Amino acid sequence: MAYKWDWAVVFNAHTLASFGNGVAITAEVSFAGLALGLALGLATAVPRAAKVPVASQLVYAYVDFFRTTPILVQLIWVFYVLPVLSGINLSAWMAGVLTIGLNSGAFLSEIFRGGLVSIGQGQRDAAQVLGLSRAQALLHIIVPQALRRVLPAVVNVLIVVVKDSSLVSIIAVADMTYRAEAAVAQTYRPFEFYTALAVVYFLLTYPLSLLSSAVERRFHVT
Amino acid sequence: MSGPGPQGPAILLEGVCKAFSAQAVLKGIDLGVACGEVMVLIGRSGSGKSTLVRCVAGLTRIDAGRIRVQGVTVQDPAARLSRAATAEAQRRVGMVFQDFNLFPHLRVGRNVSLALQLVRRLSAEAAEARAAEVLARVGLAGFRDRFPWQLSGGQQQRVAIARALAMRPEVMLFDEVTSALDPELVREVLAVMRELAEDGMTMVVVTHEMGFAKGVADRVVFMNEGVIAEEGPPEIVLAEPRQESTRIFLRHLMEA
Repeated sequence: MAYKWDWAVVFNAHTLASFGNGVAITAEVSFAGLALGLALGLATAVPRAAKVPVASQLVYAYVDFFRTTPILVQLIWVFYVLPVLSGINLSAWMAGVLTIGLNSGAFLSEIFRGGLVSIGQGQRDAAQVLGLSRAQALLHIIVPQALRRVLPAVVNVLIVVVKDSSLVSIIAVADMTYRAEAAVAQTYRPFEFYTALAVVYFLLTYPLSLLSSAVERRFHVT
Repeated sequence: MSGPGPQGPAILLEGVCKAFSAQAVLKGIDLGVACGEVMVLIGRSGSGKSTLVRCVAGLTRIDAGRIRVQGVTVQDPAARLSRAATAEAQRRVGMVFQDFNLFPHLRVGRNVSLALQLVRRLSAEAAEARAAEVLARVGLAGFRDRFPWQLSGGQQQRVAIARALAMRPEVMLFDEVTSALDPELVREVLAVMRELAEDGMTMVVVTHEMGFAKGVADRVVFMNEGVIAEEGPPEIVLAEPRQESTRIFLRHLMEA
């Protein structure tokens, strides 16, 4: 194929500056969404793993709801429907972060729960005979081991989140996907912009998988 | 050591019953362990000996009866117990497990010092000093910065003993602590336990090591199907058992 690439449309001061802002917003939305997701995941995994009566059913409902519906539908619902029903007005940015947080939190909850229940009874017994309270055992013995075991699965979710954050472009959050689309509309050069976009997503996510391997090596646990 | 004084046995079980989903495992156990006594519990698997020590350690709740540690009731389904008093008495009991149960994410020194800081409220320095002391006592002075997986099974089990000893227990429970070890590693663990016995530690030892029972036990208790079938000094129970069930068990052990 004789397509003539014209990278000058990407590599000019104006476009790069705009794209740079987009990268910052992508990072921001991903980071805030992840922070919310990690907190939600951990907070909901503990009662579920401990089979706390009412709380664990609530968590189950939450997890299943967010696992079984597409994140794109959730995003639109949170941005357009939720404000009408609840009277709470969310900015597009807030709606994006909230959706990403709720969605990744549901997946992380299951991952953390799996990690928690994978720690054998022997560890709990040992903590108990040493006189540790349940909370101390959880904090110092169970959770640190569980986190190490689930690290690869958690990193998977982190990578998915960074990529899924591109969906916020449809509610006009000016992330890098949004900026790329805008640039395409102006220049009619989709090949260059979508290629560049893919490369930047790769550059953002690949370090995460490198980091994961490094952390795994650092915490050598049987 | 703040000894319990003359007020009675270190451990006292009265009519202790435990069932797991309708399967009776302990059927009314009455048993006392005197201060400084080394009691060896023998019996085939499923006879209830591990359940018995787990009940004393507070890991398994009993269905009926009463367990006292140095005069303080730690389990009694029929009574309302003060949680604080129970916890305090339970802390005088240390336990070592078949599978070591070291904390794999913590170095050896931290395995030992963690509970000293969290439970005994020692400063980091005091906890480390105490950890070094007990690790030296089990012959592992230079192992503080290793991880459990870098140690042999025998060394891991000695760390587990040190971890329990660090808390200054007045009673030590050993639940088949050499069963998961290669034969050549059994000796180093038994040697540490023998020394503890010589130092006057009150010990309840579930084991299949008849040599240890013969050489170290003050009393051997043979359990069969949830009851104490026979007890007495090792030279009687192991050499001239009165019960047929004891004779059969010992013969099977020899043949194995």
